[in-house]
Amino acid sequence: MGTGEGKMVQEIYDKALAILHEAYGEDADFHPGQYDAIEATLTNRRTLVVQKTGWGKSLVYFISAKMTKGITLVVSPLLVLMNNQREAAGLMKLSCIQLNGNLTGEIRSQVLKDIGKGLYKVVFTTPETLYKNDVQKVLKDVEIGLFVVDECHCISDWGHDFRLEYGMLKQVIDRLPENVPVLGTTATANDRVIEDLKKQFGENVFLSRGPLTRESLHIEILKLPTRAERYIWLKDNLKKLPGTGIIYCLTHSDCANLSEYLNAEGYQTRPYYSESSKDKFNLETEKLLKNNEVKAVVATTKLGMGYDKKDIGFVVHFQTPPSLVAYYQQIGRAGRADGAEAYCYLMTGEEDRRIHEYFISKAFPTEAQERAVVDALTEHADGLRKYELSAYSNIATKALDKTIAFLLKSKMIYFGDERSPRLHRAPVPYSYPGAQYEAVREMKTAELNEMGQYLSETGCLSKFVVNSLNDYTAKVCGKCRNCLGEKILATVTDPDPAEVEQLKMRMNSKCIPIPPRKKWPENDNGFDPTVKMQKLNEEGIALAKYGASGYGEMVAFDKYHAEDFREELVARAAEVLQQKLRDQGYAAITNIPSGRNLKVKNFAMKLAERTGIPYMDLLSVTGSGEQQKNMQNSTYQFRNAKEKLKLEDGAHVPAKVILVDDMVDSRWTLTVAGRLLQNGGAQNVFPFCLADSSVND
Amino acid sequence: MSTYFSKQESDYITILCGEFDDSYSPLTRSEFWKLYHKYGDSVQALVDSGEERVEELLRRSGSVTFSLEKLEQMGIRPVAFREEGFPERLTRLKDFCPPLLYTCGDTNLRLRRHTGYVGSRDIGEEDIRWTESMVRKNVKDGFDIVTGGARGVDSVSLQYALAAGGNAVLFLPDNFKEKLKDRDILQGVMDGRILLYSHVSPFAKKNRHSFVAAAMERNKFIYAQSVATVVVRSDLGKGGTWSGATETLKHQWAVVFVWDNPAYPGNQKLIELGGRALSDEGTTDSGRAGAEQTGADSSEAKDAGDPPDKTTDGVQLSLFDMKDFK
Repeated sequence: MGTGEGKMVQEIYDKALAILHEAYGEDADFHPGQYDAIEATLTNRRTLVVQKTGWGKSLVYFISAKMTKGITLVVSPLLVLMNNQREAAGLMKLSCIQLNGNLTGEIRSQVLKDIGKGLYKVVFTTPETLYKNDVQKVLKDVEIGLFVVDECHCISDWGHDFRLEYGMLKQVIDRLPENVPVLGTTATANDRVIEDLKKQFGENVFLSRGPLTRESLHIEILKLPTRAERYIWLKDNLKKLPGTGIIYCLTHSDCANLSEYLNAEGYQTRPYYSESSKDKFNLETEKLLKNNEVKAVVATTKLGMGYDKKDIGFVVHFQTPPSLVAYYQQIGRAGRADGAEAYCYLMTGEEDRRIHEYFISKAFPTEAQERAVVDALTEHADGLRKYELSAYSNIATKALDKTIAFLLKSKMIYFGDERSPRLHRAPVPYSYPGAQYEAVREMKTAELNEMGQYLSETGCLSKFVVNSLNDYTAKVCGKCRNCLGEKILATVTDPDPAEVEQLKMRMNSKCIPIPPRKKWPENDNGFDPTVKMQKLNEEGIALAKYGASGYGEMVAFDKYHAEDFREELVARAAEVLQQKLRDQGYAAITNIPSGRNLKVKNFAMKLAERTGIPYMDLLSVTGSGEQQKNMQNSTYQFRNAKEKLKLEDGAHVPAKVILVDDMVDSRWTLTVAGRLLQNGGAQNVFPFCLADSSVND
Repeated sequence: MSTYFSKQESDYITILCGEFDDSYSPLTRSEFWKLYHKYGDSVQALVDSGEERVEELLRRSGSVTFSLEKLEQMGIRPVAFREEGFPERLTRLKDFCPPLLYTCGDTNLRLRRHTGYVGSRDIGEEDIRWTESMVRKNVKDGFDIVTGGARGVDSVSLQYALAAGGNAVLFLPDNFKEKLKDRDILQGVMDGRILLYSHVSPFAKKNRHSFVAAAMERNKFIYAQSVATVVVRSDLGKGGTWSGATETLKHQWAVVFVWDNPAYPGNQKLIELGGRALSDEGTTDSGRAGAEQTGADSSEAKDAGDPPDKTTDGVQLSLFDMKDFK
């Protein structure tokens, strides 16, 4: 290093220190490693900071921001700027703005204009928002002096949180000219992830890596196989956990159901998971949590990222997360402020493995799905809109979205710049990246197995977790269940078996609503997709989730292994219907006919006997068409149902009819049948099914 | 052989000369070369120079990334004049060489030997037949073709080259996003049979005036890339084909063959000006401009089993003689 360089580095140090002093006072000094990261960012150009939460990563980019021209663009998954970030920015006199999906309309245009005018020095954006057209437009003409990617482990295929928008960021980092500094920060990266990140950031990236042990956490593992047990445990013990906290679940429905249950038991909780309608709700939830106005937020991994509240007193995992890396990040939310102790309970449930295996199997599109989309777009070289693609390929909507996302990511297809954007085939040869997907699947399975090892660990739990992140500096913690040899919180009690049984019974008896379909999927002979249907089915009922313990299991068994559906199911159905439809004047029970067997008809007839409502043969099946369960998306399911079902000749349809089937999935069969019955004179059609076999997480 | 630019140097050329959907004005070809030579042909020196235009454009170093991202999604990338993937033969054009091209497809195709085909957009059946037979011969001799993407001679030569199992390099005068919406072009590019280049950015705004200028501009690229170029049909004294051929003859960038068709006064004039006449059979008359080699072993590119054409006086006549053309 020559004197010229040495002088430059000295200047950087002086300036950085001056900025620190101005903001935090003359006595302030950098935490170990912070200055090195700043210097690297400003000289080395590509810098990667892997440090535990609380180390002060945002200080690194705030000071670097002050020392570069143009704007600093920070890509971060946060919806709301954390207080400490706002504070820090204020102290350093940096004008910041947050861009995300909640910023809309007039305010959004104004903010974007202001960014274009250079009124903001630091612009935070979520990855999704970064790629929106209006944002891209503004960024084109703005000088970007520093590019920061927060939670950058998301970029890596090996990072546990593999979001596709972060995948696109991968390319951006790769493509940024070397004269633009890039800083990546994360608290959760093991060796494999870091190796992968180095590929993006370049081999001579400056790596700042520190110990990951979170001193203030007390960890305990609870083996409570059934949901009922875990519900009761939480009912009894949530109030004994200090302060406010987070309860992590794997699925949306678990979040919703658990939160509902706890609220019914007198707690203040809010669910938190991603769904398009929920942005506003989620934002409110974050604020409530920030102000300690809830006891717990029941969340999926969506509330994992960078959430930085100083006094999270506990983190409970209702189900086991898929990897130790995810687990580390989630418990990392707890016990922030200096000295604050926090309690982390990990529950393992019997359903966990099955859920994870389901997620892993659905993680990637199949070759058939990818090829269907690629072929359709090659055939229509001037592009197709997404709904048109749906019509040309027999792929379920969710799977279609996923297939499109992966093909976009591998650059096999792209969105054109038409007013109403169409997807186009990119002029590159296609081959299914099966090996790549398989490698990630294998990795995820290995992580699941590693998690399994953790569950049966007898040594220090904290050390095990940190070691799994390739940090071998960790010492034995002395405060986890294994180190203590006893409960981490003495007041916590085990669930009472009698209460557990009672709750189990209640859970099994909960029926599942069948909401009516409101719009046809395509225009065909009186079925107009642009118009809401005039007459809908009533909101119906299914006895249980197909295969769920209790009635769900019975239905699954009887459907394939018995002559007929058992009496117990008929009795329960009659009970539910009588409760729901008492005195409403339903005059007939009919069923969706099957060309294959008479099980459903027999069931319906027995139901009629029990309830005293007469059975009528109102529908018939034409025999053509495939099995509905092989049809993958609305368009196909609808067409198939339409082909098969007909109103029985000479049928006298009464005004109110109960429509019975064994299973409900897409609801198209019920919808088409309902329409037929209405055409025949019915006013109200009430669908009743034994089980709901639809999948949604 | 000059070495390739480093990634950073290539990036700088892209930043300075690329046209993207922002409000910056990139350096034009002549602006670029002037500045480049001023700073001793060093990209780094140019970037450090402090020149106003350069400073201005460097501000978009970060933001240009998103446009490049969009391009790459479409399978298009910019390639600088000393970057791998750039058609090296174009550097013989010196300051007429574009500092930056946009490309799509397998750039290895640029390394093969090409015969250029240029000519009118309005052609007749005879022109088509003649072009077809010349192209088939070329492909058999192991050449690929290079042409523009226009209708007429260009598209006929492309069509027959692909049909005969050959490949093609196209220099397009405009926004080639549209070209990629043509199913056959899309398929050809995906199959690695067609390579597209354009000096006009996919983000450029189209207008009639710039289109004509761009069409003229790209003709020289066709000549430069080719081992020799065949003018099928040219107007006399006007039109893109005429100006491309006369320009090339003047600068001696490439060998210009011209169909010796008496019905085309433009062709006749070009032959007078130095173009080499090609007969209806595709043979060069040994008595005219530039006598070609004799000997049965002259053409490496010929298939082993393919007998050379002979005139009655025993002089071997072939469409192209390899030794002459570099």
